[in-house]
Amino acid sequence: MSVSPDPFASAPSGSPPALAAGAAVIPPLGLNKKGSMLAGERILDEYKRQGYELYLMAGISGVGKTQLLDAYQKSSPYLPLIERNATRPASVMPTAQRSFACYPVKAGTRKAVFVDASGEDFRLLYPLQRAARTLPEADARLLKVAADALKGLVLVIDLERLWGKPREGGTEDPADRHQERILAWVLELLRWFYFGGQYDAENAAPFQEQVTARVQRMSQRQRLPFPVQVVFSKADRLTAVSLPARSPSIWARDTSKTRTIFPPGDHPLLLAYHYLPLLYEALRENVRVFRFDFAHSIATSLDSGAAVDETPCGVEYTLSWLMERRWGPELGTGTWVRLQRRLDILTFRGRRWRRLPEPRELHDG
Amino acid sequence: MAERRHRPIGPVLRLLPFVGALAAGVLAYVVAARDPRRVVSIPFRSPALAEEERHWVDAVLPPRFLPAPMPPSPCGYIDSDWSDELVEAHQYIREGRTEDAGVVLSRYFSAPSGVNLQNDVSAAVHSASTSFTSPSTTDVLGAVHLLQTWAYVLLKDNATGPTLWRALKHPIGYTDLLSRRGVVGPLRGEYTWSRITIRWPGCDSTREDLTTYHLYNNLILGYLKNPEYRDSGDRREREFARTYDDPPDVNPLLAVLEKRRKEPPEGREGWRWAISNSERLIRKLTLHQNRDSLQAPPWLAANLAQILDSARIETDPPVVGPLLNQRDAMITAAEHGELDVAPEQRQDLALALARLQLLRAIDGEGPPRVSPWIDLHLDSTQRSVVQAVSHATRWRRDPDVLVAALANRAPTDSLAVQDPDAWSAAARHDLSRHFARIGAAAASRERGAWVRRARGMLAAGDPVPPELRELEADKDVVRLLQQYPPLAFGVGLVASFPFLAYLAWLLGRREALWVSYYRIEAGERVRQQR
Repeated sequence: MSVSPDPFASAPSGSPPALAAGAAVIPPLGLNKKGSMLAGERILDEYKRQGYELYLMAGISGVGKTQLLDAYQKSSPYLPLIERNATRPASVMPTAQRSFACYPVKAGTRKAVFVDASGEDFRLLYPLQRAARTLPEADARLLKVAADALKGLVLVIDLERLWGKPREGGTEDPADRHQERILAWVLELLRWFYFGGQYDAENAAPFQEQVTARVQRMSQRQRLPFPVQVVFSKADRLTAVSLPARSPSIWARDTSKTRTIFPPGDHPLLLAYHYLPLLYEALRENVRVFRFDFAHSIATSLDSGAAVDETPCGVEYTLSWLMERRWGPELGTGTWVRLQRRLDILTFRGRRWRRLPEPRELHDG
Repeated sequence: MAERRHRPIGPVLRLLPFVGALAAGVLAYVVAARDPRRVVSIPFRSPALAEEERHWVDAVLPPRFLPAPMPPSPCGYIDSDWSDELVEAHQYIREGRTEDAGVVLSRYFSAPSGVNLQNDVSAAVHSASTSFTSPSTTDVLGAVHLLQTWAYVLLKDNATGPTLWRALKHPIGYTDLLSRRGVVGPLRGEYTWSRITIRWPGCDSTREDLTTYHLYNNLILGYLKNPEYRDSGDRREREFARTYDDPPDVNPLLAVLEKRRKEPPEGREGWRWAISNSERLIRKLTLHQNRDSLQAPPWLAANLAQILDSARIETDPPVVGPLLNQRDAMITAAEHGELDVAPEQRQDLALALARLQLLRAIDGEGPPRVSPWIDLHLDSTQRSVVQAVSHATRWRRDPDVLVAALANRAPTDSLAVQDPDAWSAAARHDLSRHFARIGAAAASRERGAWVRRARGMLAAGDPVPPELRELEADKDVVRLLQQYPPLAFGVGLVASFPFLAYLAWLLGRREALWVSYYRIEAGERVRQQR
């Protein structure tokens, strides 16, 4: 992975984009590095002060976070209550690592801002991309502010890069194969910040170890209370991705058989349960309510990669679920899963918890 | 404006709050409307009226206890130093000169001969001797008759003090001596509460023969006339102790005694001793006799009936019924013995029976059965009370008749009693109570009507019966809903909707974990393309 230059060494071209009415006043970009850190905090504080609900979108670079948010915002014809409030020019280019992208949206009487958690400001979230043996103070403050104000989290994972063949002509990002671990770390770190984690600079243990040790000592009650949506992005391309082979067990009749993913027919939760155990366990340990789903912002050709259909799929409902009001206490996903497993045993459907069932046809309803 | 798209929710969850709330409302309506309570026949009880009518009776016919008749004189001459005094005293009493009789007897018992007689007989009683010689049986008999005659005189004069108690109690002890000697009683050693005849030797048996009933009757009378009577703790304990334990329905007076014996010897101690002796007497009387054909001297039966009636307020409600049954049996026995009383006692007996009959009618045993011979002895005031009780008890047998009588003031005005308005107020109170009791037992829908009816019975200034107050204060929500089933429907609807909406939301959240929105949207695209 190339080392990025100082993200704030020079000011971006052009004037800052026009702000829509009702948007928060955001300090202009292009400040020096120190200034941008402060700006990040101020940005979040300003949004908080204006009554915005903060949602963070995390995932390694290039998984499609920005495209998903663009697609969500663009669904205006279907979501007339959401105003277009962009703080940066609409673009389908991946987020530059130096920008702090906020996407304020309006849902009814509520205001929400999706923060694209990538770039320098969130390097702590991605230790493989940016090693974090110590805890830079400014990074910590920003994440602390973010964690305290978070109302929801979106974890984006690209299964094609996780399981698929390496991209032709491109160098493989080492983070590709470690997306599960990275996202698990994101959850740990946010949980650590949320419950008042204190970095002990005098402790010889590296920052990551301190976080992990502290999180492991937390009780079940100290799980992140906001919902987490895990999105399998670029779902249109997953039909060419084969499921990884699972470790054979003495009870398995046929362990070598595998197939490709069929997003419209595969059950996303069961997929994660069987094939993303690290991520699933991390979610179960650190979060109360979480959900899995597929999504794509545009459909592209598997061969050429050209856009075939620019209509997003699975984006609108998936992100709306995050923002849904909670009208009272609810059972956690782990509890619902346990109940469902018991019910499935009684109704002779327990097999699907031993291996991923065959995908349903689209017309099955 | 483009159509707004909502997160897909299954139709069941969408309809759950509405259909569920409707179902809950209907269920609440059905449960409320199905009040299984039904008004069963509630007997009309009129304690206030009964108390008012008792006041009428007490005012014109107060309790009247009859002393046992004077014992007969010896049928022949008895050679003794007391026979002349005895005959003289009897003569004075027959002539109505009880004071002179008292003087004669007092002089005798103060003289050495009288003192010696008493001392000798008392010594023989305490020695448990069965010797016939000292003192002689004739002397013992004489002592009994003399003291009994003296007791008769002292009771007539409302005397009190040791002299009275000696005259009342010693003959009982002397009779026990006679029984030990085998002179009196059907069986040797028979308890003196049994009817033991104490006849002069050689004389024919007559109806006027002295019996132990005479002795106990007068003893009981003595206790009743002396409520402040006191005795030693040991004697009290012996008096109230019993070796049997009859159930209250067989021996109600025993239940009264058991309750009262625990009280300290204060207040109406004389009454407690009277109850104790009455209990023994009644037990002996009823032990081998049919209750419906009880035989007892009329003066004794009348006294016992009045004592039983006086015990009704001193006992627990379950005992009152058997108590009044025994009282009624005594009244019947007293009426049958009409001819067994001396002419001078007939008026007293008539008045006592008139009182008892009126009390019986007030207790709901039918109209007052005042026999013609009793009626002959009543004055006009007493007769008007009999009439008033007859009317009043007839009206209050049926609450509707009573309501009509109150509504039409003429009948109540015809009650020739001192304060007919008090009776009307008592009637209103009892009716109000009755309707309130019905309302409490009725179906919730009908409660309001009964409350209004109970309220409507009361006039301004009437005290509100506690049953009505309790009924009006009853804010039981369930009963309120049962009173107005449509309200129950509304409450069920409104109360269940939030819960069902929350449940639908909760199940929707669960559903969201399982569905794939990608699949839903993809399916929509496919259907649109088709």
